[in-house]
Amino acid sequence: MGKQPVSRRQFLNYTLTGVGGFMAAGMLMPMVRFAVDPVLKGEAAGDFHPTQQKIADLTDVPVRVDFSYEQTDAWYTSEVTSTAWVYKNDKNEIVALSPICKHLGCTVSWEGSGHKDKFFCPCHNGMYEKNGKNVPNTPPLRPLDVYPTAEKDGLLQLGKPQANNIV
Amino acid sequence: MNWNGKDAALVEQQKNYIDTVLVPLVPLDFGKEFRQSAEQYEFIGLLADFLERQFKGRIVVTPPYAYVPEMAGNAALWSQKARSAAFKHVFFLTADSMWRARENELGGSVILVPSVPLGNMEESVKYSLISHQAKQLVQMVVEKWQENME
Ligand code: FES
Repeated sequence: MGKQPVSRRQFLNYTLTGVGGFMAAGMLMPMVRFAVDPVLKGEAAGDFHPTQQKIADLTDVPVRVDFSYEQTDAWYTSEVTSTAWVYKNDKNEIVALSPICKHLGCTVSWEGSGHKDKFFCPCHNGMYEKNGKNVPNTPPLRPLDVYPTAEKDGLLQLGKPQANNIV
Repeated sequence: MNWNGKDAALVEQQKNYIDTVLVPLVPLDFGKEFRQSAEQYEFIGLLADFLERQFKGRIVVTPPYAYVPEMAGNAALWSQKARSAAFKHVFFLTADSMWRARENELGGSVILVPSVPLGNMEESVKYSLISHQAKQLVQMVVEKWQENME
């Protein structure tokens, strides 16, 4: 026993430390990646996605703006498409509303099914004012979310929708 | 709503509002129609996703009912079960024109759309094609709800 350069105990020690080291690295790597990966950090901070909508073309009538971006799900990266209803209010500020109904999540449309000056939800006849405020006595209990907006080269950019506090 | 645990919990809570089941209905073939059946599956799947997003609060989309010809008729069992679990509306979304003549068997409304082979189309082209098709469907779905109410 004693003559051997590496004893059984030492051998076990070395190998177990090695395996443990690998395991620790396996657990730590993703954590480190989350901590430093600028893309992931950017997502969390709610950065802006480009759209094709020219700011100059916006009027006081809400228009539908579709935009897509990449999103990483559990297993793969996919292209997601989102929508916003965008117009300029009477102070000439850009308003971008999420079309997701605050009742159970259907997609609302401006003046849908002939409801003048309202956002209309076809699922259970939910209604919202132009500024996103839910109309009382229709199913939704909260106003439509708003997108933070930004401009780049004359084109509209949209952030992550937030609870609406303009109404 | 999608066919997953989180959405299913909501469906159970809000059954009064989420009253519609949408079943993608896709033929399956391993021979001559192999490619066509795969294409239909892809196309119908994308349309179903679109409708799910549009009508999330009222429609629950089931896994597709895929059939070889001998099994086609069994799709009626799905609508039967859904109805007996108190879902008010059952819609079948399909590109298989056979159902035009057999709608009555199914115990639900058939939404028949001609399939478009998506092949190697780029994502963005695919998306605009699907959303164009789907916009017409949106109107159809709303009308079916109204018809069924009468
Ligand atoms: S989901 Fe919009 S009113 Fe119910």
